[in-house]
Amino acid sequence: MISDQPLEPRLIDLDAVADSLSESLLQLPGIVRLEPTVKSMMNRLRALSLNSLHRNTGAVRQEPRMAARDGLLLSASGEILNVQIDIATDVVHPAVEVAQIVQGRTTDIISKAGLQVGSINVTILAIEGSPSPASPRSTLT
Amino acid sequence: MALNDDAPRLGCGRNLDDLWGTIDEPPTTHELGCSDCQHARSALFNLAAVTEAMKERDLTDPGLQPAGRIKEAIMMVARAEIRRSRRTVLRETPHGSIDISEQALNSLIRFAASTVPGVHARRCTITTTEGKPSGTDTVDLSDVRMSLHVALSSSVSIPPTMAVLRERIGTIVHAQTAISMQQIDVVVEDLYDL
Repeated sequence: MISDQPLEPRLIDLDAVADSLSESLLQLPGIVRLEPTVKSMMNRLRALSLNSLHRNTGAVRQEPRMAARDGLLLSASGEILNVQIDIATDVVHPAVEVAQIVQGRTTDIISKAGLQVGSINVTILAIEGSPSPASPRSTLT
Repeated sequence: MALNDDAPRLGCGRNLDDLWGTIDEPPTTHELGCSDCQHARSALFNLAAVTEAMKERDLTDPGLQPAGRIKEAIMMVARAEIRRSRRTVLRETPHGSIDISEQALNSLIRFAASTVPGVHARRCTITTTEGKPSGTDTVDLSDVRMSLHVALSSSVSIPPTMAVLRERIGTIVHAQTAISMQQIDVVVEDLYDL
């Protein structure tokens, strides 16, 4: 039987995509860490604040149109997902090639999440000789 | 006049939003003689004053201030972002752009210099077109020039070491970023004993 009720638009869980991206990119050879930026950090704080507000007020949580992690900023426009990625690379690997691999991996993850790939911009913010011992530490946890 | 919309209206029929929209202007002839409008103006002034007072109080309310570690984390990231300086686009791919910060390029050059025996890299500056003022947001990829100040071991011969240093910097920077340096200036500013 076909329901007469209109279908609800599919909600995009950007947080899940962001977590998956973060975990996957950190495993790529040549990636030392995802570099936090002021922009990604403020968006992450904004999301945390809104979650807290919704918990306290009991208001219905709107699905986020942006999600941020250290070095990652995801913004959805309809079903299209745009991503800004800020990376620190290991000097053993060619930085520009690592960045291109990052773009490819990101494309795969977005496609597997059922979203359309928008622009994936990668910025190499640091090239280092070896990973810093403190590198995996998040700035907000 | 259409009165069947959802906009709140005063007893005189005036739209409350219209009144609020002109609250900073002197009262009109109608408002000067209308008690409804006068009461509404007074009430809206009070509401605005109370709202402003609450906003001011929130700015200094200890319960609404970010935790110390949050502020410290933001400042740490902000300071790092300033150090990263300008950026240059290295490549445009079908997926988007790949760019690099000037600080990353700087550290790469210093790394390249450190691979040459007897060379200690000191200051490094990256410029584009000669005479172009610094502080622009992007670097012209086709015209990247650098100046590196170094200290050399007194046991090395300067001319061949400079040749190796230039070659090493050019090779490593190109391998990492695909940038072909237009000019590599090296200033030997000190000698040191091993």
